[in-house]
Amino acid sequence: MDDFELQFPLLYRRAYGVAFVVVGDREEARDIAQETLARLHVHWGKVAEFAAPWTVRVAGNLAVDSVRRRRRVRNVRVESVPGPDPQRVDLQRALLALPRRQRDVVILRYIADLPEADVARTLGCSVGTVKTHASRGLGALRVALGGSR
Amino acid sequence: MNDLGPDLDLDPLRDHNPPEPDDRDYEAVQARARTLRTRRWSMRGGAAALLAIVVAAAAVGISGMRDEGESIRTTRSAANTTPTTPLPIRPEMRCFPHGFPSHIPTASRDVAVSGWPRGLPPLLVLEGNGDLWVIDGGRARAWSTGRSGGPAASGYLWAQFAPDGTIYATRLVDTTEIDLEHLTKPDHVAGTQTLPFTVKPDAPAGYCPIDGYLATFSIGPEGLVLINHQAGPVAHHCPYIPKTTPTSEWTCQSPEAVTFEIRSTPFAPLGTQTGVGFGGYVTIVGDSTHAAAFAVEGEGVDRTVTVVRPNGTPECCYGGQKGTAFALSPEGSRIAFSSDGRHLDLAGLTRAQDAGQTLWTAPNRIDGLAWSGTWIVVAHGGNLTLVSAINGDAFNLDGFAPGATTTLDWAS
Repeated sequence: MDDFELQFPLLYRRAYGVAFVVVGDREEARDIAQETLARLHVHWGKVAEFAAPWTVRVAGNLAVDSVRRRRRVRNVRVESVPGPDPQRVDLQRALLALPRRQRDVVILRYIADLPEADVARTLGCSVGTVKTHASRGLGALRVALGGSR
Repeated sequence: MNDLGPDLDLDPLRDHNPPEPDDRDYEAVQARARTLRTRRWSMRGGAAALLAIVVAAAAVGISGMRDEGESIRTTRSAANTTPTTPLPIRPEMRCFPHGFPSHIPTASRDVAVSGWPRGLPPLLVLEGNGDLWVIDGGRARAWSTGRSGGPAASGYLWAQFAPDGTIYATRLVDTTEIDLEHLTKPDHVAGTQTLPFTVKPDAPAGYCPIDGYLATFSIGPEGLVLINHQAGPVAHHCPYIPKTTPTSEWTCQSPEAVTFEIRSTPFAPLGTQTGVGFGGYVTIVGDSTHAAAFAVEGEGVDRTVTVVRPNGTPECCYGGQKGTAFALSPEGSRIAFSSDGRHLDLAGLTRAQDAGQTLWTAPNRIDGLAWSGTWIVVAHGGNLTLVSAINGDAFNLDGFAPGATTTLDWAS
């Protein structure tokens, strides 16, 4: 059993967990987790050392992309299907509106629960930069989620 | 759970009883990984062949550029053999990212530029109206030229320095062809070559209908890199599609596609296909001495950059960063970009998704970047600013306000 296979369950759960927070659909989150792990496998030689943060970051971005795609086709949604949680819709809207780096920080820090130091290492920047982007991103989240209450 | 404050809690959004990954998930991941590898090599698999081309081109030397014949006009069939008709291209067809410049030459053709540091190489500035300038030694001189008997109203669409300090630039001629012009000094075209294209009348609506060359290109040690566009639909290898994923008519085909072509010298009659291709609209926005090229899709802040490194392995490709402007460092190891149009960020290219760090913040929208040595020139809101890539110190260049900028390029 190689390293990838050994770490597969843990990394899969992390990818699924991040994706589900964003998309709110089990099948879709599972699909994103599979895609994330497939990409991880392809890049394994280069990213194995920081596989966990790489995985949650890619899963988060795939989830945001998925939401963006879904928005484009929402006009064909069947009306009888129950709508998503309003809080999740607000989160999705906030994530879509964030600059890419703030979004990365928000996903890594607040959705994947990584420590600031790990976020900084993952993004190749200082902890101070992470704090700055986290503060701005969190502000946007507060407006989006807090405003829905 | 991170402390988001009393009013913020993401916990209700989490799946508290997530499905455990099983063998089917693992097998699905393996199958997708195999497909990804196949797709990467089918789209970019020419990298190894391209390496040979790059080596061969380096052996021949780019110096042959200036020896190419004057006023050469070669026409060869467009890349796609799909029967097309000679329809004129129109602005709404979205084949040229900077539109159709009207080329209204400014009254002054030679202006002083203050704040220009000593020792900087010449800087090419192509304005949005198609006017071409070169800043050198504290003076900005217009290099644009009209065409006797031709469409002087057509400004340049794209321009780049050649290694010998001359300039190659493209312009649209009569809305039916692109000319690649070789400018050796201000207002002097030493040679011209036609880059043919045709317009596919039944191309998918909303996508570029050109079969043939686009206007952007790069010049590096490997020679001239051109873009061959193919109007869709273009069938391609179809990756694994889970049953739960919605499909569309474009699931296994693209509405347009491009490949790259390298010519050892700009006026060589034929180029070699690199094997590097994309399934959508792509244009080059920068290059480096290591022959990396930027390809972007989308518009405005949604322009997504991918760094194609012809002399590297496909896995090294950096991609996915969005922004308004991009530039490669001279040695090709870093990228300067503006993700939001205001911040100038630097990132390394060794990792697929390095988000980088902010170097400088512009007072208005950044729409052009070029990098030479330790300096990055930034076009923003009609102004030019030199920003130190080392510490972010910024110096405004006064006396020359180019307006909207299409292209910035430093001489080698």
